[in-house]
Amino acid sequence: MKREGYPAAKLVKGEVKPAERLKGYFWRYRWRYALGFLFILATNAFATAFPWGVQYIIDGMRSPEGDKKVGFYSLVLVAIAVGAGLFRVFSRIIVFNAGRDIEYEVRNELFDHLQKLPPSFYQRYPTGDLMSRLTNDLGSVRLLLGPGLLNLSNTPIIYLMTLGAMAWISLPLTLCALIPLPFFVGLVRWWSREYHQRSLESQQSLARLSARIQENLNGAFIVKLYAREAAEVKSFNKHNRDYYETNRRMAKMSSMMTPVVNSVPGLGILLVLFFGGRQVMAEALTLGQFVTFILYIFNLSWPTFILGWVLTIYQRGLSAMGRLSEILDAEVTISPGEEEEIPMRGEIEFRNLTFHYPSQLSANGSQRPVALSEISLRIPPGSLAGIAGGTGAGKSTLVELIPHFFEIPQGALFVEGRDITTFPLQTLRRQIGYAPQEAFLFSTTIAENIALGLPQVSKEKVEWAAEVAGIREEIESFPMGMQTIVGERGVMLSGGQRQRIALARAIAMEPKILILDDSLSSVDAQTERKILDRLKEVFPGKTVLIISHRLSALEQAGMIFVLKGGRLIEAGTPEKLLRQEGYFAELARRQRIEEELEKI
Amino acid sequence: MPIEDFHEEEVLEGKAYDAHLVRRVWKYIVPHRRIVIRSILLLPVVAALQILQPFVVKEGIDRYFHEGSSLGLSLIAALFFVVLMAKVVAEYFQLYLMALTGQRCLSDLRLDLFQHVQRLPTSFFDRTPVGRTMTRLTNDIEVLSEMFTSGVVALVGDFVKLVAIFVVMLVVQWKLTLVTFTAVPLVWVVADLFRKKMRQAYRLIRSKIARINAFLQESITGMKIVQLFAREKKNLGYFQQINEDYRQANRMSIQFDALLFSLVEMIGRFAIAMILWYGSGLHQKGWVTLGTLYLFIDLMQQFFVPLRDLSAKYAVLQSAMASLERVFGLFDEKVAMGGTPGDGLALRTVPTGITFKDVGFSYRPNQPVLKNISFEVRSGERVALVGATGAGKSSIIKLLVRLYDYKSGEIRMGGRELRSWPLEELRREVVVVPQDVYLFSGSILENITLGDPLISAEKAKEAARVVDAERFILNLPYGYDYEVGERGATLSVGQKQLLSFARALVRDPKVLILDEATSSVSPDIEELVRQGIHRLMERRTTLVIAHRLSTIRDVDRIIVLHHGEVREMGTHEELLALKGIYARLYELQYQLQE
Ligand SMILES: Nc1ncnc2c1ncn2[C@@H]1O[C@H](COP(=O)(O)OP(=O)(O)OP(=O)(O)O)[C@@H](O)[C@H]1O
Ligand SMILES: Nc1ncnc2c1ncn2[C@@H]1O[C@H](COP(=O)(O)OP(=O)(O)OP(=O)(O)O)[C@@H](O)[C@H]1O
Ligand SMILES: [Mg+2]
Repeated sequence: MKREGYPAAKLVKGEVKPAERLKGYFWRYRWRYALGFLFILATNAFATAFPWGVQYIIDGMRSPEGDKKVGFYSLVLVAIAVGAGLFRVFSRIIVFNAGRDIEYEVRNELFDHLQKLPPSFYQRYPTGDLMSRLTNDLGSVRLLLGPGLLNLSNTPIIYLMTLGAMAWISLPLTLCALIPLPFFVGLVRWWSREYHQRSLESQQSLARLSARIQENLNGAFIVKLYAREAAEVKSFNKHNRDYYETNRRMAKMSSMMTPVVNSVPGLGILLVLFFGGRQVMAEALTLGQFVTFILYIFNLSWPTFILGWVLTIYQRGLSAMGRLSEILDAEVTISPGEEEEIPMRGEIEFRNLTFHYPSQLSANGSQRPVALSEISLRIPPGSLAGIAGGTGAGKSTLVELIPHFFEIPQGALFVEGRDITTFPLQTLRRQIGYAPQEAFLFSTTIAENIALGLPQVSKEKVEWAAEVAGIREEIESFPMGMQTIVGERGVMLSGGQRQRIALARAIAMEPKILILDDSLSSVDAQTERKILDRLKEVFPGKTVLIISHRLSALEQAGMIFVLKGGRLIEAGTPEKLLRQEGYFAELARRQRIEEELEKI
Repeated sequence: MPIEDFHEEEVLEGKAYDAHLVRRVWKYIVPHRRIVIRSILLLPVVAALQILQPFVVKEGIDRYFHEGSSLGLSLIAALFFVVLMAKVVAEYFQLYLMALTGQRCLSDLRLDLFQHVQRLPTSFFDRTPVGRTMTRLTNDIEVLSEMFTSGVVALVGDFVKLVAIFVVMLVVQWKLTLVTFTAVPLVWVVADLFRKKMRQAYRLIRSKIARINAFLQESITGMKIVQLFAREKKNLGYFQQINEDYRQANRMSIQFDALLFSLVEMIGRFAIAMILWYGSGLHQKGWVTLGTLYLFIDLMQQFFVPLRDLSAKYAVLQSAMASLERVFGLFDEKVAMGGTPGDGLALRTVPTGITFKDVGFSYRPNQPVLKNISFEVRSGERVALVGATGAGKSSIIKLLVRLYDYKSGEIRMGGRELRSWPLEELRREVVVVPQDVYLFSGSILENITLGDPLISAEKAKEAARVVDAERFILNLPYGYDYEVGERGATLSVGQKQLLSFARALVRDPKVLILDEATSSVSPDIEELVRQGIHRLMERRTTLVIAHRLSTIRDVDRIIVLHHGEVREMGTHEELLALKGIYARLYELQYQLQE
């Protein structure tokens, strides 16, 4: 399937902020970087000393007792090489590790933030896209903060030291060697701009590709059932080609940088040859100095070469940081608030609540559909309330508002008489057990899935909850019992098993408010009956909300609310509603007729 | 099935030999050989232009410095400039062509791998977290991309350069060359020393990142549950743990990397010291000129640039090899058998009776899920499968469309053994509305047609009307073009189920299988759907699974399944008279409503 439905990341905006963020991370590790910097300094001091030694040897060859001198200086050179090597090892380890540490921190930070973001965020960003950001993009940032920074600081140091040494030998010649530099700088600036754009495109393309793959893998069973493999491959390849194209464009740019940068020292040598040669002829410069000069230019060649690479890293890292900032800057619209002890009895009240999903705003802003409108109802503590209504009437939306899952306006929903927008989030959610319409299991053991809402896995609680949810015996008949691994989303279980484990999870919390959103739809009548009976037994005095299409489940409720098109159209005891000739009465009548029909 | 390994690292052992891996990569390079050859032909050119540079300088020193010829010097400088520019151009094309090859190979590889994954059996998807497979298709291949762009393939080029420099030096002064090169084998020794350890480290890294991805994938898709059960803190704790493991794995590689790089650099300096020490002796004997000494130093520098580069590339290479192992590991997963190609007989044209004979099946060894299942569904008959949850109803269906293959007994379809039908044909004619609804992000229309060009929008809309989905669709902002979001997140569960239903109907199958296809739909709509189907599926074979018995009201026969066995079979009346499992289920359901 195509997925163009989410906005592409902004290309221009936020150019400054990512850099600020990067600086922030850098600053947090400044001491580490400072130490690394010291080591880099030491490394380069040795590296700069090396050609100096060479100069002594070459000039020494001509002197009378050259042999001795040459031997001595050769040993000095070896010592210098060892020194440089030692410091280099440590400088690299220190700085690279700092990059990894920042990566670690930022990844945690991202994940932490992701967990706080509301559903509206997840509707905008496909899962695969987010995953790509947390691995590929973060990887680019790390590359910038590790090897990138190392070389970025290495280069000026080498330049300064080397140029210093060169100037010491001959200032004019040094200046000559620097002639190409301004052109080079201009070129680099043009190049960075281009490259930044292209790398951003490539990152976006990769994210889209990831999203496509993620969806395909998740829907693998549909692809198989409907023999859509070929179409999937085609759609994949479209993204794949697109990604290839962006990479090709990027390669065009990056292949340019290396040879150009490589030619810079060459140009330096050329100039030294041309101008320095004359000076040697004029005997203003010794041959040893001349060779040393060229060696220094060689010293510059690696850092210059790597500079090209650092620039690509920098551009990539910056655009990646921009993409990460999109996550980090996403607003936490449902603030957690301070946790506090609030005794709950389970009272819920909706006061004239109107709610629409963010995506329900139609393009022209006119006549937007509303998920819930002007809902007013009160569920007293300890009652069993049934919620009925047609498909898409807004039942799930209604109950998902209670744990403050979506952003809602103030003064519309009260739990325990307290406005839900001011209710501490964790406190609220810990007291609400929710069995969703679509059971979602994590790929761990059954026990851990049931204990999800508990502070820790407690064997007794898990077994008790499983028993109430009518699945204990079944689980225990599995060879691994409660330790059975269920597979991603519970693929290794039957639909009814999954549903009841999700139910057990809600029960295990022993919540003050229990919400069952059509949670027995995949369960046979016999099992459903048992579960409902058990629930009434173990949860007397607790508030229970049941959404169901089955009369059998609804009839047990003390009060029933019927929704239609987002409005509350009926409310009252089952008896009352039966007399009212509305949706509920119709539902009951239909099921009675069916029953009669079958008896014939 | 290694279920226990679900959260364990897939530790890949070093049995995959590098030569073997390289050969497999080679397969992807061959189709682009024309570009590769061009790039490779440029390699010696670049190398020659590179080596030419110090020669020019040497000539300058030896010939003109003493003569003091200013004109000669200018000529030399001009020559140098030409050589330099020629090299820039040659190198650009060489690198670009190489990078291009890389991207093409990877694009092919990605496509191949994706295609392969499409053909993997259901059991693979059962046991492999989505995030892990994704890692192989994206992150692991990205690592390979680094291999191409950073030019490990250009290793060949580096190698050419190295050999060229060596030969040139030998020709110029063989004694000095041999002495100088005593330092080089050291590089070899060091590299070999590190190889195994580095590979191990990178393997660890790759498997840790796969784990991060798997966890991310799951957490993000299950974010609703995480949040509603206030699991954030615990989840973060776990994430930090695996993130920390990843960091630790990287620590190791960083140490090796730093050591290798610095050692090679150091050895390069040793070599220069050696040239000077030994060369000065030769110079004093008058065997070499100072210009030659310069040439040697310069060439030695050049020699060590690719070598040092090599050490950086070496890390990339090891990392790439670790990724290659994983990528090809996925390739080595066995694909599901496709069914023997037909002999021209089309499933479409034969009566589609279904026969199960003594079929046995288990997902895991020694845990039979279906035992001796025998029943028959005549062509055009409607049959219901009922039974408690976990009885094995869905499993029967999975066997019928060959999501899994049965272990014993026989299943026949249209008078033939099931496996003798080509898989695609089978799945085109036997369509299932699965218990789990899955919508792709995209429009409603796309979700019904699933991108099949043979299904017109009109037909899709017709199907939506049959299941009474059009009513809600037309209320949505863009109607049929409404974007449903990932997994259909912006629809209610019942709405999704209706779309999933329409998706099956529009294919106009010969055999329709409904696995709890309307379990979340309100009874009024369900009734409409039932009537619609009744009309549409007249004379088609239909298998229905449902817990609400009203759903299966008008089937011809009912098969009752219990603990993986067929326990009762017959019409509604027959089964009621039997006073068995079905009768009890039935009583219960209606008695509750009294
Ligand atoms: N992929 C799988 N791997 C391992 N075991 C499985 C797998 N799928 C199902 N099972 C097991 O096989 C048994 C039968 O499952 P199946 O889905 O066929 O039941 P069902 O009758 O359709 O139940 P329900 O009415 O709940 O959907 C169950 O015990 C289940 O745990
Ligand atoms: N995330 C969302 N974004 C936009 N619209 C949504 C979203 N979720 C639900 N809707 C719409 O809101 C309406 C109410 O949905 P809801 O899930 O509450 O229905 P429901 O009564 O639970 O239906 P069902 O019985 O099918 O589960 C539907 O029309 C649906 O399309
Ligand atoms: Mg719902």
